[in-house]
Amino acid sequence: MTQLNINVRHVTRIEGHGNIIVNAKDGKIEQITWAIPESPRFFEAMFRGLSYEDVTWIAPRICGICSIAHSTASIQATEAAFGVQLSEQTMLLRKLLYHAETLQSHVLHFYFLAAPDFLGVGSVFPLVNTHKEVVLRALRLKKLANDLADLIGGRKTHPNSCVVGGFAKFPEVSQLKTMQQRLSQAIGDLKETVKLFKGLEIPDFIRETEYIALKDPKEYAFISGSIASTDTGIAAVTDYLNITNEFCVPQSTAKFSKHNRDSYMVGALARFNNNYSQLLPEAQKAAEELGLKALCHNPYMISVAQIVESTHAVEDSLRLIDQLLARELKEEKPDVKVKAGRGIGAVEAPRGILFHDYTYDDNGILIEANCVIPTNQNHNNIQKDMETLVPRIINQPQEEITHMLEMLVRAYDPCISCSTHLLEVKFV
Amino acid sequence: MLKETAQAKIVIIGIGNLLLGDEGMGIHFVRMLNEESLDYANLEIIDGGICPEFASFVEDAHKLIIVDAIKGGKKPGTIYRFSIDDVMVDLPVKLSLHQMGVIDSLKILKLVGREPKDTIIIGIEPKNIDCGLGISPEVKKGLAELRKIVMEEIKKADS
Repeated sequence: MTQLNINVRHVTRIEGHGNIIVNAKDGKIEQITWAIPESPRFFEAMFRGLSYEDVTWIAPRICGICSIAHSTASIQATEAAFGVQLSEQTMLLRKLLYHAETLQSHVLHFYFLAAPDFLGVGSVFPLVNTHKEVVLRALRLKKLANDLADLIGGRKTHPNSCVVGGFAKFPEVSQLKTMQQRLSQAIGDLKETVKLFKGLEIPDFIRETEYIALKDPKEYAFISGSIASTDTGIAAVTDYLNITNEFCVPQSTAKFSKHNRDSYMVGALARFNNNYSQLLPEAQKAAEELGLKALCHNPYMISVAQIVESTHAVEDSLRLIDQLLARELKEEKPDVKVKAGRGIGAVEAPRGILFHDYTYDDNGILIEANCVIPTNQNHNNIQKDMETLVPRIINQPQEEITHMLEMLVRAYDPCISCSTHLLEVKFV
Repeated sequence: MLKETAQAKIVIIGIGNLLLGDEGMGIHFVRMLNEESLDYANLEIIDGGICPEFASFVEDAHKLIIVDAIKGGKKPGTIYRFSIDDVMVDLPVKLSLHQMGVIDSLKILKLVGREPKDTIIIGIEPKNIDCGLGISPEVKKGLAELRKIVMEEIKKADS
């Protein structure tokens, strides 16, 4: 009799993270579970009773990696509720800031989380000894993204210059020009990144699923447009609850989602599958070189889609700075008139579509909030991927199965317990 | 008297989540410092929030002071001051970037040879890390003590 018991429990910091549980006897699978046992957070409850200005200040603190996404979704929800009209300059700056986050999160993901897997080392640390230039390149790209976030958002993380209706601080022309030079140089680093990943072996695992992302007829969407599904087409952002359909499952305190099928995917690959034709030329070239074609049904290719999107983010940033420099940058004052109402903000966080849904009273006090995060939309897809993958690899050694499943979860890079960074130590 | 850039660069970075009570003490601390005019020209004070990787924020620092809530098993309000070599840290295989933290960032800096010459970690044992914007009286009291430690470090760097 052969018995397989995989139980990957990631207990770090304060509470449990995602757990992978697989049990099988004589090749017969008894259990495959992706479980998220961490305590739910109650940020929405904290929002209630706060003024819209305070909500703007608090929202970016929900997550350290996706702080610009939470900030933007929050601001856009409030703007939708109040009916605020935005200037062209505000939209240009907002998109530019947004690319900073996409780039910094993706760089961290494909260099620090995915690359060690594909290069056959346990983590980024041994990579420093064998591929130091790779790590230095990652840090260089990360620093560029941090500095861009600082220039437009006022801080490297948790932006403070984005406000409802516009910006509270504006970059100087000379700063934009310097940033543009640095972004141009980064194209070289991204080409090297493509070269590196091109040579790596990515697991060949196909499971068809539904892909959901924002779609804008004008551009590869990050902060504008409607909701697109590769199965069902376009839906209005205001219909998001009919898309996300969150539900509870016994194995997890985090909610799961489904739409047209058993599960759906959000994130870089979902965006690519919906919007690939709108990628800018260098990004299209990167996709071709990396062998990424829509529709791609291999979740291990999420990291590859992130490299393509990083190239797009840098290219589009160069274009946005051109547009900002071509016009005279003005210190515009936000024009906000508070009124009662409900508004929904939808953005593409690095890990996928994120919704903030707020209702305000006459005085601009928040009375109801709902946030649907990308990771909760992906949990069910991770579960279904595991259910398909495990039977295909069941005869491999337990270590190999565990590694494949961990790699799968890492590809999605779930946002679990992102809200605490308390340092837990034992003294020696 | 203020000295110009010949001074060794000191970076003070506060880490934590403002929305989780005492977890956010690092941020409360750097905000407190930002309200003062400190007598040291080459000083950068960073609100690092819950960013999982801050290596690229601090790589040019001569002295790095990290301020974070620290769970060391002592009573709430206890002050800690230590270096990375004083502690045993577990760096398990990660499933998510959200599991990266202070130690990972320090280790990356060290491995690429860009670590500050001197790094110290200071913090306070939290009492309450549930959702909420305030901090406990124990941690509030400890912030003044942390300020003293930071002032001594600045004085040392200046001498």
